[in-house]
Amino acid sequence: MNQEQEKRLLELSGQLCDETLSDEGFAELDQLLKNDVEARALYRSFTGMHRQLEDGALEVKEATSESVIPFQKKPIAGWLVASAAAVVALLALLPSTQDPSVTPTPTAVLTRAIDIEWEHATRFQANVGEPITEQWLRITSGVAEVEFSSGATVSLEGPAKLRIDNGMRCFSKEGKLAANCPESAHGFTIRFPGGQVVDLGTEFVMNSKPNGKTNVHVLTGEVTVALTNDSEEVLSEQNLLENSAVVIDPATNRIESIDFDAEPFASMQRESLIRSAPIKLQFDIGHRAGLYTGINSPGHASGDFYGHENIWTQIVGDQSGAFVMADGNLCPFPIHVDYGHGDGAIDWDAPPIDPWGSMYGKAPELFDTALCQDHRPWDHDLGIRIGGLPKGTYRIYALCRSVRRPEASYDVSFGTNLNRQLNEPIAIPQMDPEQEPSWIDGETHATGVVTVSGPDDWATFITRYARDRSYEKNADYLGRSVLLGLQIVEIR
Amino acid sequence: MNTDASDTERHVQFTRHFAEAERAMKAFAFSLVPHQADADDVIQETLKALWQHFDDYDPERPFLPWANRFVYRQVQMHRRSQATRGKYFLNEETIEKLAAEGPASPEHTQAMERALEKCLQNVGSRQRQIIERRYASQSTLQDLAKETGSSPNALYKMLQRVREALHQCICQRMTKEGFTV
Repeated sequence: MNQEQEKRLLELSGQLCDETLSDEGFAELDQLLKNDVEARALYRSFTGMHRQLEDGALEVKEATSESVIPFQKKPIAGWLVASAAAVVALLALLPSTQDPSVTPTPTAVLTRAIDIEWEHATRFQANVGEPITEQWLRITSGVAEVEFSSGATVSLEGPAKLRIDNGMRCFSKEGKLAANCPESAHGFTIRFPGGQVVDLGTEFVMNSKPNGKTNVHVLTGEVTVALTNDSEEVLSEQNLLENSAVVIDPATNRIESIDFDAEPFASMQRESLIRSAPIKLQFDIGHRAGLYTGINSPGHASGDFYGHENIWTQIVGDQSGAFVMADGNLCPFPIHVDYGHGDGAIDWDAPPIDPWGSMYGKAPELFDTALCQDHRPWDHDLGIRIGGLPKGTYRIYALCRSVRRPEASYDVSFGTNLNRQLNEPIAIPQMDPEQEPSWIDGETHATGVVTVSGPDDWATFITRYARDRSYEKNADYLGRSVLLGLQIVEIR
Repeated sequence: MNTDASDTERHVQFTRHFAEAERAMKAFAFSLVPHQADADDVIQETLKALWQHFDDYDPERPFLPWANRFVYRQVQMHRRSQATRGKYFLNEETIEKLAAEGPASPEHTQAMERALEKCLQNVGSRQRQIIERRYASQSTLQDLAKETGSSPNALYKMLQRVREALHQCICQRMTKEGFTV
């Protein structure tokens, strides 16, 4: 075969791989292959390469390129580009297309806004989940929490005025705030009128009052408090240990000890903020679930999850204990994830097995993970239930469709303590491939609301491949119940 | 589920064989139907058939060639079912020939993986961007075309050039390692 034919062969093979090969193209490819053993070898190696690329040959590279993001606390920093979801897909490409050192480092992100009233309708504001660089936040009431790129978190309670300077520095003009500084934020500095607090690995609260005085109470660790002049030069300073407090008065240039009393700050401390925030969990269940993770998910598209809430927990079977929530904080409640399957009734103790009774895991190539689209036995109900959730109402987003089978239909049910599908399950129809880039409830995923009365209740989701409504009606044609991911958000 | 001891042993045998052969079987199926969902279906059907006929398998002989016969049969069945839906496919005779010469050994498949990994390291950034868009991201080349202002057609041509270059690189590497490509 000559060079020209070879090129044509590869071109047609490429079109076949991209599913753009015309009928004429098929005939031509067929002609080239039919009587030429060399052509067939080329075709095989080319399509073999295509398959390996499809099968994740690029994935290793992707994982390493994400690690260039200079954030320390969280494994993925998808929220850096939260305002443009499409850019996330490009994240993997950044290092090759531009110098990472040129990428601007965001200073902070607003991670919470509780009952917040901003001082101004448009200025001095931030949106939850979006990056903040050098700006004022001014609130008249409510509590805002800011996470700095250094890992430090500062929450402020209105009325308060805080200027974000950089990842290690801010200025509190007025108001109550609570700071929590992990090791990575050692040296984190909060300036205030006439002084500053430098963190030495700690948690502290402070109140800059309109009369110019500032109280500082140290809960754990140690800080250095200082009086400064207008040029920010330190006039005097002293170290302050936990369970002690001072008042700094620039009018008299004095630092004086006062009684330690962190009680007025209790509700805005990090622990209580985490405890009082709605529970948001994201479970990554299948090997293809990577397609959904980060902030490309129905929960994010619908606004229930913010840009910085990009942490997914990998689920590989029944799991219980401490779970990390979507924002990277530890869930304050012990959670149980229970997996099961069955034909009709769900057996919650059923181990993930293949059709012959072998446990998953013996053949990792085939049974990529215990749950997900390689789930077998086929045509069975697949269930997952979450226990340990405190009394409340939860919205659940279930990523329950094979990404590679738009023609498949499913029956799904949401409920409390379900052991089988509801009498009238939600019918998930075939997917319109044209709509693939957008999230459509009841088509690309299923959404349900479940109320639990306490940790002993199970928030349950059950799915089943609906053979009769799927495109392939051949009785031998096997379908799979699919569960790739689950997002749970407490609704208030 | 039969939990008879010999039956359990059979399961274990089968699962082990299949685990070893699966990668090569998938590659083989894919060479005949180069479309992920189709190839997956073929493998799934094959798995079922293999289990049904596992009693016929002679453990003295290698598993893969035996299994690949089932892959081939499923491909042909798949081809027919696609044809009745008006989907075009390669000619039966061509598929037969591909199958006869085709199935790559696991060593061959692994060598190819190694070669691909090396070759991907030498791809330029723009080329890599295109190949990642096509294979590793959910967004499409059409999206990339919109972002960059190039035509989808031009990007597809470029994608094909990258694939051809990768393919050539792989072939060279594998030849060096003593594999026929």
